[in-house]
Amino acid sequence: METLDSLMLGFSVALRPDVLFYAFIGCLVGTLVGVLPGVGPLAGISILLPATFGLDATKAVVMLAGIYYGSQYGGSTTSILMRIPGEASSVMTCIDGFAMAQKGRAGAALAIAAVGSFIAGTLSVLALTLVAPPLAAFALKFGPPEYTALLLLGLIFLAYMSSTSLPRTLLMASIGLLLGCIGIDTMSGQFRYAFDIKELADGIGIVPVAVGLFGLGEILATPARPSNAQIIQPRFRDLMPTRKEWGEAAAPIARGSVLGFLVGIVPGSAHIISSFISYAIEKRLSKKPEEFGHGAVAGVAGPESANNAASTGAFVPMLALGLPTGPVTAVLMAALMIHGVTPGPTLVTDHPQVFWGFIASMYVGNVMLLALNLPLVGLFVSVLRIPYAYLYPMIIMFCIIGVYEVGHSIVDVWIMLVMGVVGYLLRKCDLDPAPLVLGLVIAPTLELSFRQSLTMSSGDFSIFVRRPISAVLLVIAALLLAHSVSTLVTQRKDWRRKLAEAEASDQKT
Amino acid sequence: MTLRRDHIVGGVLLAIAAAVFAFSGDLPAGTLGSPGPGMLPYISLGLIAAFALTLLAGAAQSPPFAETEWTDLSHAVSVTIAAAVAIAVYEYLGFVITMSGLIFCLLALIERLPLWRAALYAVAVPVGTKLLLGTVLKSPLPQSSFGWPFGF
Repeated sequence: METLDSLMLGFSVALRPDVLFYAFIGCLVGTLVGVLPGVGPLAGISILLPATFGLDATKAVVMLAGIYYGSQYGGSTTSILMRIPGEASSVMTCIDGFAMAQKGRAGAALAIAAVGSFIAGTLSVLALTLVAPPLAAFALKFGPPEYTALLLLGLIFLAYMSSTSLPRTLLMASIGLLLGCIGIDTMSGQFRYAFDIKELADGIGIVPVAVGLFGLGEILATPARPSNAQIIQPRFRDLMPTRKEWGEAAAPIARGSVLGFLVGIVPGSAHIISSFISYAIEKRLSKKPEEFGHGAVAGVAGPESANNAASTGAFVPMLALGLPTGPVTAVLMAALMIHGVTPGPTLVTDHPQVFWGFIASMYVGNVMLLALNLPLVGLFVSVLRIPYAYLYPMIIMFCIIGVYEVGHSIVDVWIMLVMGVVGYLLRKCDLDPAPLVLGLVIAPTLELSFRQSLTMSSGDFSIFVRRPISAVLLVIAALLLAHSVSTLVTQRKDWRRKLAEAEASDQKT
Repeated sequence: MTLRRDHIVGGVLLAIAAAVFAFSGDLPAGTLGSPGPGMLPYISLGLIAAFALTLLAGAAQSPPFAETEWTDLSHAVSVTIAAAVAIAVYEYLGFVITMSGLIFCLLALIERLPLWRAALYAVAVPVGTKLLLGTVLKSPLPQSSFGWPFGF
């Protein structure tokens, strides 16, 4: 009952015309970000972050979150119509979505992706509504050892999910932790690695690093070549799937919603991982697995639902614990903090209008996205006709604006450029930049809680296992690490390795 | 011996970790009971070195470095240089002039698009953005140090 009352408070905020307007802008920009290959939600959010400085915290986070989950909707459009994933989480949709389009069922594939995303998005917001407040209340029991254990578990889980390259993932996370140490040490006031550059006193910002690695880095690795891709333009009347197609989509949408939400809660690039896992599960459960790769409806419905549910699930630890599960939620957290709102267990009680307004806006945003994505699909497709040679200079311009406007610091823009080059080199070396950003984001909290824990216990490490919550979290982390290492040493193929191979073979076909 | 990708990655990161460690001379690690500002950096450096060594140890399974695709390198270098010049002059020339120059340079010199089209686009996009961000969204962008008309 209390939750319902709070949700009503949220709707009274989310349905205000000005908040609705910014939710709409976020959804529209998010869809465009999803449609355009090479521009991910992270770059989109970072670039538009300065535009929220004049807004209050609720409008800012509503707009930026709209970009995030809007991009999951938009990413399916290019996957289905051009076999080009507009967003990394739409890679799996390319396979069967494009195959459906070639069979003349492009409209149906788009409708199933949009409706699946809508159902998954709405169900996972419902789950978020129910899960986040009690989790936040529980998290009030957390002290420094619990936070240390939780953050370690986050890093280990990220490494576990990418078990084919465990050392590479942890290597990148360690680099992120080191970068996170730059600046004034909050406990002693000592400068670290700042080289007398006063702008580095507050440390390296998340935005320049994220925009550099994911925005500029992507552009440097993508030369502008004339696109030969054929764009299928569906007619509005073709958008309605048949009764049989709806029947085939129903169960995958339901499974994708649950799976996506659960995967979304844990750290890592959840929306990407969830779509891969969903595809593999649907293929395994299907009575006609041979149809996968040739236009299986479940191959579109499952992954598209999963990636949307995961993007909502990622908000649970952000809102309830104040912990980002990836670069996107890290930038959203930074946005809230810029507006004087600190995400975490006290957010529900300290800023109920922001918390519940944000959750209610996600219900509204999902309806908006459904209304935007189906009737306006032709408009979004026409954006793809703009040659990349014209797009990327504009994206570079927005990268520079986005980073500069956060702190009016040219040093931040130089950091972005350096990170862009680093991002380009990381791609060449098959190193994922996401763990680096996650390490950078959690470094200050991890360091503070780790040092506080040791100070509390006079250097006794048993404090981490004497407290039940941190002990449980560390045991889970140890089990995951042991499983990862054992599969790595024995070269045994577990479900993750098999999944990776299946993805690789599916993408080749 | 064939030089492989992970030989390069592991070697470079190991060297970076050693160099940063050498720069960290004045950072006290503290004690376990009273950890200092150097504790996490040293732990991170240790982890970087350890994982870099792991990569080196398993480098034989990575592809030969010579097989790495570098066809996009010249484009990447050109774009990086153009962006670096733009960043260097951004606060002096202001948003519109810098971005017009950057976009024109990218379109005309790197992408070899027709000059008139590049010029038109290079003026229209920054001016439109300036109006949108500066006027509608009230997010001020840097102005030229030289005053009007360059201060636009």
